[in-house]
Amino acid sequence: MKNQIKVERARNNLTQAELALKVQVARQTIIAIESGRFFPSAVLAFKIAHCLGSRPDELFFLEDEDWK
Amino acid sequence: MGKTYFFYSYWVKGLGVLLILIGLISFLNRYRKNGVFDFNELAIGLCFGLLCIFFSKEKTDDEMIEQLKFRALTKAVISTFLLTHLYNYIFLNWRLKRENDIILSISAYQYLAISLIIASCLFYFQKMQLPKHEE
Repeated sequence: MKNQIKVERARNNLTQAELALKVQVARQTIIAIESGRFFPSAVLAFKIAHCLGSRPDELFFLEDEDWK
Repeated sequence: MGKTYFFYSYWVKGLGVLLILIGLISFLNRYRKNGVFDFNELAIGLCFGLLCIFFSKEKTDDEMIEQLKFRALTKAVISTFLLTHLYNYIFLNWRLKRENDIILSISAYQYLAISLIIASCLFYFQKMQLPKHEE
């Protein structure tokens, strides 16, 4: 699963630490999600999307591998 | 989300360290007085201590930490079971020559202590591996 968090975060002028604070998770979690090492739950994905002012389906994309 | 599966507070980790130390002191005392290595006594201290350490919240607790802990616990339970089974199979079934004829099987306390040691090591290793700075 790919995501556009880094782009949206830059558009909102937010640092990883600020986003982590808003979503109430550790900064390492945001780093891991951005780099694709950790896939958030639906609730966390909605929270991140809400804090970045976008929709979850605009922020996260399924890849071909996810269907296998 | 919002609720955590790890319900002990962060400070309980300190209590865990204290319980491990008590178990260790008790184990050494028993050896000093009777000359017996009572690994069950050590295992009991380790069990209570590591239960407090592993199942208490981290400074910042979120779903990624929970997932790391769950993965570590899964691997630890399976690997400890295999180790225990191998130990019991080799030492209790095979007719090995030994000085004392009594070899005890691994107790439940020892099994739990080994599992929790492996789980804690795996968890803190995985946590250390997480990137700390923006990539």
